[in-house]
Amino acid sequence: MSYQDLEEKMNQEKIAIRYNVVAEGAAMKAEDYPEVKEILPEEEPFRTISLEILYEDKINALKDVKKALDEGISPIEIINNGLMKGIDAVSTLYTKGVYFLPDLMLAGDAMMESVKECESVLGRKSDTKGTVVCFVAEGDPHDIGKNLILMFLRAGGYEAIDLGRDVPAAKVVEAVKEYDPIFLTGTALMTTTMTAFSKVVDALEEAGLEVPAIGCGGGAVRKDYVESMPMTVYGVEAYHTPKLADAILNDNKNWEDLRKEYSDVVGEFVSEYAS
Amino acid sequence: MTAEYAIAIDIGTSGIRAQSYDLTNDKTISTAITLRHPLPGANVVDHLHFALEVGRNKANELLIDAINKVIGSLEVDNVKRLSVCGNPIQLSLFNNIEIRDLAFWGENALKEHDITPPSRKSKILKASQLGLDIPGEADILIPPAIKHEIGADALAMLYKSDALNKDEDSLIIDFGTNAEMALIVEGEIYTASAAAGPAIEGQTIEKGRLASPNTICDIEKEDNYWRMKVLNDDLMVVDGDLINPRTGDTIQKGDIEAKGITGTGVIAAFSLGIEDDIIKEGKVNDRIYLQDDIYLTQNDISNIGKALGAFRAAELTLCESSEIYLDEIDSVYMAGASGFYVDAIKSMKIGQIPTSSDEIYQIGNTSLAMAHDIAINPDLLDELQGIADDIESNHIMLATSEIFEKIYSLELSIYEENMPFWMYKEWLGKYGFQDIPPLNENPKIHKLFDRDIANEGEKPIQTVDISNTMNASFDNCIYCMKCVDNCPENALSLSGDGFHLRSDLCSGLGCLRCMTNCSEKAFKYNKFYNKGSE
Repeated sequence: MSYQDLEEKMNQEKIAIRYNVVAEGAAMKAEDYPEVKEILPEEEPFRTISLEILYEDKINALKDVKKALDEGISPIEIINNGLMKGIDAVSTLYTKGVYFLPDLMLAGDAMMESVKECESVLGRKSDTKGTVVCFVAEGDPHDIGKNLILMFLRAGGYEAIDLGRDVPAAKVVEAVKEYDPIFLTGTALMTTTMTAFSKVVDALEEAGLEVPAIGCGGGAVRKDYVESMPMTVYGVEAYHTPKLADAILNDNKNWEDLRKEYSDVVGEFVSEYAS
Repeated sequence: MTAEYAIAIDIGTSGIRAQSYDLTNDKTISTAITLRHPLPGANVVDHLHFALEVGRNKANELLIDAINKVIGSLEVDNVKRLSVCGNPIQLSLFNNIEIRDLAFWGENALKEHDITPPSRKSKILKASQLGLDIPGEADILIPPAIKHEIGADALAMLYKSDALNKDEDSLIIDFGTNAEMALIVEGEIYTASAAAGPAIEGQTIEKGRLASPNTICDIEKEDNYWRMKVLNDDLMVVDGDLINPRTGDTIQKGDIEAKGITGTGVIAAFSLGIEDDIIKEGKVNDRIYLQDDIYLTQNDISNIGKALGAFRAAELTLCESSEIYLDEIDSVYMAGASGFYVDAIKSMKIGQIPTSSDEIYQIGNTSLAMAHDIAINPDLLDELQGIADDIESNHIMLATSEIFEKIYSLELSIYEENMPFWMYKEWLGKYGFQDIPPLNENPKIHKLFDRDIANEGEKPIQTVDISNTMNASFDNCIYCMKCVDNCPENALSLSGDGFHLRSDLCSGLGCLRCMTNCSEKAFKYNKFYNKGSE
């Protein structure tokens, strides 16, 4: 008997116990988690905007951001007190296992579009903690990992520059010259393209440039390979990226420190760094 | 007049399969297979990577050497012609042409490395040009690729399924580490290649092995227990033990020992695990216990899950791109050895093939079957080139498809983050994609042969040893044996002060556990092949 057949046969008024709570998931609303409550602002219109990001509602987020801008509310305040709070809550729920990858992707998109709206009024890029440049290895089209990194960095308050996929070393060098990033990330899924990382390091050294660290990760990327060259750190999870950037920015850590203190920096046990 | 013979060879990522035929009556004389590929690696990208490292010539030499061993075991002389089939990487390695265009994606990489993609049209060479151990004037027949990465293997599954000549919508899938797919909708062909990963062939699974004697290849439920189905020395399926999968207790002993589990066995365990609630939301509490200390871990479940997810996400992407619903597909063709041996119902239940599949054809190894057709009738090569030219295939590059990115992220959420399936379905709706149709309880399954290779001939199938050993020794080595102990394939051994690596067993540059576990950082993998080329 299917669930539907069963339901039709049951006298709904007599049902006191919901037997399928687990199957239907948590009844708790995203905004009611204590960790989220702590993050979300009380004041309007920031609360509404942050909730729209939390609930991945791009259309209404854009509408309410435009309305707030029309009302003369500072775009900086909208970003910091509304949009960033919303995305911070999304990251929190993701780490907690309540939200999943697609939530991040949709909420991230809603936030970025809204930030663009604010920046068009501001007339410049909004202030961020710092700039990070992200690329996919030359010869590799797989960019899901890089897109997640962009999302986590932006949620973490960083300006994340997206160089796209199949990025030659020369283009990475140009971007480093242009943006002077505090951190660089490179991702690859194919074993054949992993070698692009050493080319980037060589090209940077040749140009006399240095970055505090280059986070390298992705499907086929091996830690020992990454650690066979200078300047690089093996990145395990996309959501570790803003924490690595924080350590560089706040505690002046460089690639050598990050290799030694990875688990501490990201604040969790990381088996790849266990021995 | 002495009899004349032809040979057909399928160069697969997980092994070589070959047959010989008597040209006077077209009868199959002998069949030989290898259980490994001669190049190190667990998948075709590993083979490619290795070939880039050692150089095309060395890789070609290893492959030709293995093929010659296979040819030798077919025991036919007076060979008039030999035909091959395989994916573009294997066929390019075989006739030693440019491979780098298959190793990198994108304009920038091609420009940077100064790569000109070669022609992969059908061609006829002479045996002497390739160093094959058959008469030098024998013709070597190489079928065309449809274009770039859609190779002769994809052409083979289209050709042998005959789906192009039928007036119905069909989905054809070649089951392998790279799952080639073609969806035919009203005569229009949509293709994609899903990087399912080596778990499909039992690799990257802790106790996994390629299909070979003493491997669990299927599992069936008996009362509340699981009956192991194990391959015997003739690669036929026989009953193994009856096991309680939660505890590993043997309820009833079978007649055969198990030493590992194949990809199809893993899929069976995965499907039954879900059915019996041992796997919940992509997670297993402890392990799934099978016969003779074979088990599956959470990591194994996650690996096979992501591989299955790549199938489902690719199928959905094809359907969304061609604007057809999954349940509108009339026929599903499962090609390749794994597609033949896997239980089609279990494959359906876990979404590897559409849950709504109605007519299912398990057509076996179509690459060898097409190579056979070419060997018997060389004129077919022109016809195949014609078909390849006419296929205006709409190729969907999954890595750059937004639809695939969205759906695959849902698959990752299930298998890496334990997202429940109802949420997966909800997300499909949110994205405006079609829903997963309900399970068809009564599909019709058509399986024409006992084995994935039809007509194996009078002689039993020969399993050919293609072992090839490369040697190296390392400065600063303290002989702690960590490299040898950590090799998952037992490919590495030590005698005296020299290490010996079996290239056919080695998982290659995607693994390198020998090197990463070296406490002295003395182990250098590339010393094996640099020395070998001296």
